[in-house]
Amino acid sequence: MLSRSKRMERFLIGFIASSLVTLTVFICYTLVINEPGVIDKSKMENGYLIPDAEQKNIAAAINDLNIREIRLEEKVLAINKRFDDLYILGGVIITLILAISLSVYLRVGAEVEKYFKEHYKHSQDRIDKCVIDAEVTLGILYARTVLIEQWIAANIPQSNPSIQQGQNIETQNDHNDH
Amino acid sequence: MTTMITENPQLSKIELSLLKSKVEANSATAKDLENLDYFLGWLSSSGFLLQNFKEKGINSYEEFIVQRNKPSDKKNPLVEGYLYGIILGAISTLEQYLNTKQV
Repeated sequence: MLSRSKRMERFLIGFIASSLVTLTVFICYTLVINEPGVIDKSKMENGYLIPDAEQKNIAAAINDLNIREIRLEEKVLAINKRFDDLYILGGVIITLILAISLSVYLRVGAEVEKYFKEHYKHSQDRIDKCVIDAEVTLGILYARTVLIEQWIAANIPQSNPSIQQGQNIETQNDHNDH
Repeated sequence: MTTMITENPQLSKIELSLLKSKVEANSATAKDLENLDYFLGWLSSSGFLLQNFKEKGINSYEEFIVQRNKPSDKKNPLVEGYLYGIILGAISTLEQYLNTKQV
């Protein structure tokens, strides 16, 4: 048989232990209830969560944020599409310019070559004619120069005696003066 | 002109003009060139034309006429043009000589 004090001690120990267990369970329950993602059944009605005012505001804000995000993404996508269009258009324009330049270059080259082939003989004939004309002029000048020089040279001996006579007369006069 | 040389070695301006026309029309004969060369003896020693012909590899007046009448692809147009110029130059010098003599 246990004494009365022993009984009282065991009763207190049991009371404290049960109090601790109860406290522990209560604390755990409280923590579990406040854990995010855990649905508080007290706030549910017909299986749906009943949002309070704050939660409603938060949901609206989140919804608004989502809508803004979606709109922003749409704008970004639209701008990207416009840029894509611009890139495509610019590429097409640059390609066209390159194609036109290349075609003009090739066409001009072909035209010049064709023109030269068609007019080469004509141009060569004109150049040859100019050279022949130059040779003719050279022959005329050569003949005139040589013939006139010989003509003058042939006439100088006829004029020399008179010149020499004049010089002789001058020298004779000088001698007479002396 | 042959008779002119043998019988009467005179050259008038009209005959010289006619000779020039014949040379320009490529209808001058070797005898015409020979006569021209003879009259060039008035200005210098005779044989001026033939001397220049020989310098270009043409040994006679007849050869020059033959060369001149050849097709253009079978002759040297530069030599022919040069000698043609010498003939024209000689004629113009003779014309000048005759003008001087008349004055």
